Amino acid sequence: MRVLFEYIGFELKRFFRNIRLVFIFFISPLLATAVFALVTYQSPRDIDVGLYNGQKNDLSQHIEDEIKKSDILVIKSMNSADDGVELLKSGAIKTIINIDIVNGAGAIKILEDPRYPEVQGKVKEDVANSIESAIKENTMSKAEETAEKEYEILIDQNFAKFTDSILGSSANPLSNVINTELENNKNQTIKDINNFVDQKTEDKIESFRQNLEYSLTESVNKNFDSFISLIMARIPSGEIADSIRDDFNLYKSETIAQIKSTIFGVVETQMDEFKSQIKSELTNEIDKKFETFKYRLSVTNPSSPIAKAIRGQTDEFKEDLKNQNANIEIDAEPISFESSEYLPKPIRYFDRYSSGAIPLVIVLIFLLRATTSMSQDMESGVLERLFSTPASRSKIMFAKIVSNILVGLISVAAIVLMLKFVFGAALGNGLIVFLVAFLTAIVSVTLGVLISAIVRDLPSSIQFAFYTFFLLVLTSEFFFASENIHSYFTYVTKISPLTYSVAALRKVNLFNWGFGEVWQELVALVGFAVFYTTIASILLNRESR
Amino acid sequence: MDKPRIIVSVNNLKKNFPPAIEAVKSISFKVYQNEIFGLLGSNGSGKSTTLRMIATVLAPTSGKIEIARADSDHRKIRNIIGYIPQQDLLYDDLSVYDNIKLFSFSYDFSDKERKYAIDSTLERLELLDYKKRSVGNLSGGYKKRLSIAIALMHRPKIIIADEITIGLDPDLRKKIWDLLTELKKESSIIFTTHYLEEAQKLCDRIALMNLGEIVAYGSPEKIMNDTQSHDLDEVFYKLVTMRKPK
Repeated sequence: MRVLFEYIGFELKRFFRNIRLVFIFFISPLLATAVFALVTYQSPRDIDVGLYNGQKNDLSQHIEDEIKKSDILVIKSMNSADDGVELLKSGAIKTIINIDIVNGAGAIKILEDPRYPEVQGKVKEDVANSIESAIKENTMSKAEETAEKEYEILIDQNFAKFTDSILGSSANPLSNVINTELENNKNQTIKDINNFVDQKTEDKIESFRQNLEYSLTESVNKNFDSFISLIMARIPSGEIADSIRDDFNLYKSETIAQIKSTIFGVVETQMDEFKSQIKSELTNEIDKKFETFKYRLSVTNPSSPIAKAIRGQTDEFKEDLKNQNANIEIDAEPISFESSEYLPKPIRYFDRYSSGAIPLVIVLIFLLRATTSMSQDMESGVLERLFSTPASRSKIMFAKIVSNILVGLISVAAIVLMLKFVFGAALGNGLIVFLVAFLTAIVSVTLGVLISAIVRDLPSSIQFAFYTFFLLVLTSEFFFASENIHSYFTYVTKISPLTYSVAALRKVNLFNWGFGEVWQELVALVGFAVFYTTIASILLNRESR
Repeated sequence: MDKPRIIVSVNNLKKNFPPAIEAVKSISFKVYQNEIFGLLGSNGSGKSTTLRMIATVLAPTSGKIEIARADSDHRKIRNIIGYIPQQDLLYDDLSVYDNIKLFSFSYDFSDKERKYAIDSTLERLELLDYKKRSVGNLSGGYKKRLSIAIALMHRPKIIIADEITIGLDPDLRKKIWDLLTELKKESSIIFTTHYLEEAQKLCDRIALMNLGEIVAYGSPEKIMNDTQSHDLDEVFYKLVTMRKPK
């Protein structure tokens, strides 16, 4: 057991006495973790966006002001939407916000650069938050106002139609009903009154006739009886007297009957005339009354009381409805939020990443290849022996770089061809793709040589190359946009050659852009290659090492 | 008798390796034309560092190295120097011929001159029959021959040999001694060795180094006389072993 502890002790002693091991196992992981933390330090912020507000009305201005209050967006106002596309192409902005609102309605259109999905999500979220209050406070109230006005107009129109249907000048259904009813009632009334007159007249005539008949009969009987008594008093009783009496009685009866007939005839005639006159007058009067009544009930006459009353009631009811409308709420948002990607050609999900995969693979291959190749020769001493000859170190190094590149070009061609023909990647201008890949390979090799010049022994240089690759990938904006990176650390994306390779290939492959758009990246890559080579040359020429 | 011509002049040469290693501490010596000059000393005495500085692969911290007819132009110096490193620094994956050809491009040969230089050197080192063989398949002796061939193909005026006989069998060591003796006719040779009898046998003059300093300098005979020693082993014992810090 003691021996085991001794071994452990010695191993630890060896470890801590080897400064490279300490660096590789403690410092490097800490640095790598720190870099990882720094490049993912924050949710995207300081995002450059272009803002175009073409309509310049109160609402669009209000929304523009709200968006400009954002803490995470850096707004660049544009004079036209086309300006925005140019800025997007140049990389000066990552998103275009187009406020297209007229008369309280319209859309806020977001045009995204598809290279930065994480950034785009944040922009949309922030713009949505910024305009939410504007939509609620301004857009919604205006929309409600508009809706209320429209509703009032609708009420007015419907009520006008309704009143026209019941009060209109033309023959309308209500008027027709009222007139028909009135006419029927009038006729029925006339009929009833005529019957009533007939009935009452008949009754009165009958009563009058009975009274008259009774009075006449009484009177005739009385006079005849007096006369008969006077006569009979002078005529002795007996048969003659009886016969005279009978004759008198008969005459009396006949006289009564005749008088009755005459009088009743006259009365009948008079009564008929009277009845007809009464009926006629009553009918006329009823007609007049009904006409007056009809006039007063007329809904087509605006000045008729009932028309006035109906109109008054409907107007009152209409105002009630309008007042109820004051609390109306609308559900639909009159401003839509639209987002789309700036993509001149259709691409697949895979295509977004294939442009980054090419330089990544190239850097991995060439960086390791160059680092191990140089370090191997340095560690073995062959390189030092070559340096002891008159051959210039630059030439030897250049030969190393070129040979590595030439070997790697086959690999580059294979990668590009596989992406193109096996996976159907959406590649742009083949010449530029190959040129970017070629320059990336050169930069990777020169960086590998530089690492070898710094570290020199093989195991350490491999470790160093892996960490360098890891850092290059993290800071390339392939996985994390510069907006994610800690503000004091953003410059690292600018000093990472992989950033320029990824950017150039994305421009070429996603947007079909040409040399005009990627020359800066190409120059940067050449610059990196020259810089690394220069530093490596200086280090390798330092014979004191 | 003519005064011998100085080929290499080392004055107050120092080499420090930061932070605290003084590998060479202000040494001075001269190497004459057509002589074999031996740099002797124990491991870590500064021999190889001194040779590497003369071969221009290592820059001195201070001091001066003057090479005849080369001023301080490294390219000129490298053209007249043939450096044989301690290890056989060769490309194992290349053939014997390709290895020597690769190094030949460091010199201003025409194609014809290059071919002659390579073939004649390979023949001199008895490597012609092996020229197509991969270096990785060669024995240590033949690797050493190839390493020497690479250093000699441009017929250098100064040959710097860093412990080139170490680990070789007696037969090959003898051959290398003969070769150095032959080369001495046309070049000056600076070489280091641990084998003191080898130095005593081959060297015209020696510098014995200890802890970065020269503790004895001159012909072996003179040094033995000065130290009243019978051989260089005794000199070494008196000047190096006895003075080692305890």
